[in-house]
Amino acid sequence: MFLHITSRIKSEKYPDLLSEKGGRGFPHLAFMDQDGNVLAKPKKRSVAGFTETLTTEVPAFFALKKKAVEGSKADKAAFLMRRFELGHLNTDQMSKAIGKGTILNEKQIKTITGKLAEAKVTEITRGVNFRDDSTFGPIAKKLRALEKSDGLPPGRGGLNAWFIIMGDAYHRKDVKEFERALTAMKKGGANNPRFIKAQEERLKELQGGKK
Amino acid sequence: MAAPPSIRLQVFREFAQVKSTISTTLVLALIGAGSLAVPGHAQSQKALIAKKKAKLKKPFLENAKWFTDYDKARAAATKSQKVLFTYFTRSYSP
Repeated sequence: MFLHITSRIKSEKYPDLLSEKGGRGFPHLAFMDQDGNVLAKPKKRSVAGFTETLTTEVPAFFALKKKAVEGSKADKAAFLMRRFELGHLNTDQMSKAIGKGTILNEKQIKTITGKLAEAKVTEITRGVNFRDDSTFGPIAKKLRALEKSDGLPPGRGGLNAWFIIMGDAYHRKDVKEFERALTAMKKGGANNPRFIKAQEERLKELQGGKK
Repeated sequence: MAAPPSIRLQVFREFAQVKSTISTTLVLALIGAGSLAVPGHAQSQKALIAKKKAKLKKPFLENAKWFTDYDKARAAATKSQKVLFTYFTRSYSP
C-alpha cells in the first residue's frame, strides 16, 4: 500500500505524481505495477468497487499483456491501446505508435491522434502553478510553439494552454497576444463572469499602458 | 494486494469526505485570476509541513503499513511480486 500526499512542500520528491498517473482530483485510488504503471482505477467508490477492480480489471490487464506477447498483431495492438488508455504512453510513444509501421488500425490511430495535442499540453503544463502567472514565461513559449506545430486542443487542455499564454502576455505587456488568448478562452468555453470581468479589466489596463 | 476490510472502509470514508478536484483548482485559479500575482494567497512552507505531519497522524494511516516513499513502495512491490494499491490524497487543504 502506497500513500502519496500532495503537500505543496517545495522539497517533496514526486510532487506531481497524481497528475502523472492521470489523477484529476482528491482522493484518488489506483492499482499500479512495480514500475508505477497504472493497471486499473476503481470505478466505484466502495469496497465492492475496490474488490471488483482488484479481482477483474487487474488480472485482465495481465491477461491482455500475456496475449500480446504470444498473440497476433491485433492482440499487440489491443494491449498497446490499453496502455494508452491507462496513461502509460508519453507523447513521443504516442507519436511512434501511430507513425510509420504502426500495428494499429484506423480507428485506433484516430483515437490516439485525437488525444495527442491534449497530452502534449498536459506534459508541457505539468507542475505549473496556475496561481502565479509570473512563472508562465517558459511554459507559454512551449505552448505557442505547440500552437504553431499541432494547434491547441479544444476542451480543458486548450483552456489551460490559453490561460498560461494569456498570463504570460500580461507580464510581457503584449496587448495583442493577451486579447487573442482571451478571445480563444471565451470561444473555448471560459464563461465565468468574474473571471471574464477580471481579464477584461487587465486588458483595459494593458491598452492604457498603466501596468 | 487487498487491504484488510477495516482499512478499506476507512479509506473510503475519507474518500466520501473530500470531493475537491484538480479542475476545481483551475476554476478557482480562474476565478481569482485578477489577483493571481498576490503572494498573500500562498501558504508558508512551515505551515505546509505542519499540515502534512497532521495528515500522517490520521488514524486510518496509522492502522496499516503504508509506504509514503514512492521508490521504496515500488522496491517492496518488486520484492514481494505484488501490485501496489495507491491512495492519493493531499495535505495542503482539508
